Amino acid sequence: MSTTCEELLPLIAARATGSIDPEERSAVESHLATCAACPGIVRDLDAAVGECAIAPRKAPDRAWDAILRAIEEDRAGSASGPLVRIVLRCTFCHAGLGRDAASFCASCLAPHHAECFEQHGRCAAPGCSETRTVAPAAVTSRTTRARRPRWPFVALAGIAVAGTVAALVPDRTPTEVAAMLAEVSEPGAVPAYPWDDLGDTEVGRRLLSQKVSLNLDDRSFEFAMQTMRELTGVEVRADERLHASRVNVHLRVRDLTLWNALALLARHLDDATFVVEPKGVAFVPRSALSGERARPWHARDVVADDAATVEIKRRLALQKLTVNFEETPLSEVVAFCQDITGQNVVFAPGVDRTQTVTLQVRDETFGAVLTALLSTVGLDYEVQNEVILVVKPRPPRTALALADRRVTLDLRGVTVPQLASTLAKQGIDVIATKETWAQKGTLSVIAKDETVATLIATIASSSSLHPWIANVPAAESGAVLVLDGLVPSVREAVTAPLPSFPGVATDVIEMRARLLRDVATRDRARKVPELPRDALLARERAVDLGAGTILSLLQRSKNIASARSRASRGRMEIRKVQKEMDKLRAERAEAPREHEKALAELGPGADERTQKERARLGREHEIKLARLESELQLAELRRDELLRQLGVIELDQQMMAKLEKGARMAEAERR
Amino acid sequence: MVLTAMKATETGETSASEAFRRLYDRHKDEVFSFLARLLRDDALAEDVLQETFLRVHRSLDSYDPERSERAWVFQIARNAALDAIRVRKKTERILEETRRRSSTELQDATDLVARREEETSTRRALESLPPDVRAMLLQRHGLDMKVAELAESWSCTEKTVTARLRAAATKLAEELFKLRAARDGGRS
Repeated sequence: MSTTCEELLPLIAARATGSIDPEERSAVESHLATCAACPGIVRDLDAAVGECAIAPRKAPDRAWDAILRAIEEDRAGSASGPLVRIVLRCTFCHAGLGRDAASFCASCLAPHHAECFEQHGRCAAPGCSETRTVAPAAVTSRTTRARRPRWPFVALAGIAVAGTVAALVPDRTPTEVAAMLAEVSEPGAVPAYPWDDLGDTEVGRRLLSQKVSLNLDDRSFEFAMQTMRELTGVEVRADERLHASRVNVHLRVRDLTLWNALALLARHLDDATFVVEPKGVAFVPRSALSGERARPWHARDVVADDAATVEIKRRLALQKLTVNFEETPLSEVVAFCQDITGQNVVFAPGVDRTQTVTLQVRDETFGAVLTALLSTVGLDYEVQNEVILVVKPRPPRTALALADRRVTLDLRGVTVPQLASTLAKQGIDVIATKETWAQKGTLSVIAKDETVATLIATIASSSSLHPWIANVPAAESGAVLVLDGLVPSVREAVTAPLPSFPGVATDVIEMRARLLRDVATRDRARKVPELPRDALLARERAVDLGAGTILSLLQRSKNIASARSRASRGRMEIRKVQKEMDKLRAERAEAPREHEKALAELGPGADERTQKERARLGREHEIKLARLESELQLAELRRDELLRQLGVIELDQQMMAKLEKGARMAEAERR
Repeated sequence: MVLTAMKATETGETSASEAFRRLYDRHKDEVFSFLARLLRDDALAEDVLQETFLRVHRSLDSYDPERSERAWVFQIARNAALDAIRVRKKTERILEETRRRSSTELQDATDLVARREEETSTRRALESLPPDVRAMLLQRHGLDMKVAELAESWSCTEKTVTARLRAAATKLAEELFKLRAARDGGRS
């Protein structure tokens, strides 16, 4: 077949399927008249189109009865929960799954058809290899119990229960944790994870794995609790001191983790949180708790939904919207955004939903649209509990304040819990993921009156940890230091959504979008180590490619070979940026004093010249502050970017090492 | 339109179910023939037929009477079938793995050769297309749906349908070309 034939192949195909233009047709016909090979293809194509013919068949008679039965079952299934329906899907075959028919993985509670689980031999959830299942026994007993109103009983038991809960909670402040940790002298022994109040209970696992969709339109809190009970089979109750019956709930969310749904509900009550009980959860006043749980924040709030938070922020920065609102009520606007973007946007309790907004923009990022919309009515948003929460403006950023704090440490060969305890002693709230807490390795940190930001850079560049600061307005210092581990496996690294490494300040993404171009310009000027492009390509495509292809890609990459020296250069660069940032901060702290000094020198004169001079000084001062602030932001972004790149380089190194090992093993096997 | 009547008389239980029955009767044979041809498995086609009408029943509320009823029913049928194919593929992969571990390999290989020989090369080319492409070709040439109807059934514009049809045809032609080349190569 000549080149012309190959070129004409699509047209020949189009001719056979009758989707050809008259002009094209004449070109094809004239070619077919002269070509020797193509008529054969045409015959094959005609035959194939002929194969598409559908022989008329009669549907089996029994089908109708089966359909009626299925409809009946469907109706019965939806009757118990008219507002929302949770559809379980089998983790193995992804087909729908009746709640009663499901058997759940004993480790991760992923729902399966019993036969699917048997066929697969183990849990089909990625990363889980559990071979046992559990049956939903609680569900069957629940249906009979849930109907009976037991409120008077619960109310009577309220105070007693709260007391018991308080007694059960380990009463530990960070300093006490530190004292406890100081006693740990035996190497390798890891103290209990201090933020875990879920334990290995069935309810706890369910709270983190089950998804729920709610559509509560100004319903009573009790109605909300009853809905949750019926949907999830988890007992939900509220302490009577919270006066839940007086509260109304407005919540419209899709596919939200049960834990986060409960956390959002708890926001509607005054200073309330929820605790996990043997058979369910209870909303209780914070004052009834003590220790870690009395804190208005929790490790899991900050860490567990980190991946979800990063994903939401990524979408806020990348997803484009075109909107045209004119005097539209905020509730409609939010519903629109929710439908268009598929993201959960939720009003915090107490936010006025009836205010109207007007905005017309084309192709603007979701984040920018939300900011523009909400700022016109004096509102703001934050990402929490897996949703975008519309709130009244939050307090000023505190992450930077913690980053500026100074610490002195001399630790050699300590474990993560020991590091955490030492930092806690210096009054810095520290949390760690459970995996990081239990990590076997040790690290050495030496810092003499350094800022926390420098400390972070030091730890990140000398260990596999990637600490970051999370804004938690309710924490004592307004922010906590999260000691986070490196992405645990190569697989996760290649599939993790970018950016895979949350920056030092958690709110940088939006700013990043705005300033990234400037940073890129500066980066080019300063010769920042470039990412190994082939490796990045491999990382992006690794999901689709086999390991062999990645290996060849990597082996071809000369860039990767120098990744090690690149990484060390990167670390040096990070330290340099850090010093620069420290200098800028010092300058910023000094600026008001200098301004005051200049004013004092000018004297208290009230004549026109002095007043003009004073105004000039004021302007100059403001400009200087703004310049410092923006330079600081840029430096921060650059540092984040460097840390991220360093993370990628390190991951690539790890990935390469693993792949090489695999290749060597394969080679040995072949021999 | 019967469906509109069905929506309007939600309280009149009998007439609604009668209307649904009429809808079923209108489409069952054609849907079943389409499914049997697409899935090439009668038992599975029957299951999917049930699933299709269950989904139809579920989405009666959201049905837009302006749309072609046939395009709508076939959209649901096609999606149900594609779901079933996905599930079947996964199961087959596991089964194959199990089989490979056990020692019945030889037997299966013989079966496979026998099955292969039965199939004509054109059919094989058709079967090697991705299921959604195959479904579109079947809807166009088997059910004789017009481009406008296809556009409704695939929830896209007519232009897209034409482009997709052409892409499908090109793919088919390429497969046929490959098969032809292999055959000719084998002969020489």
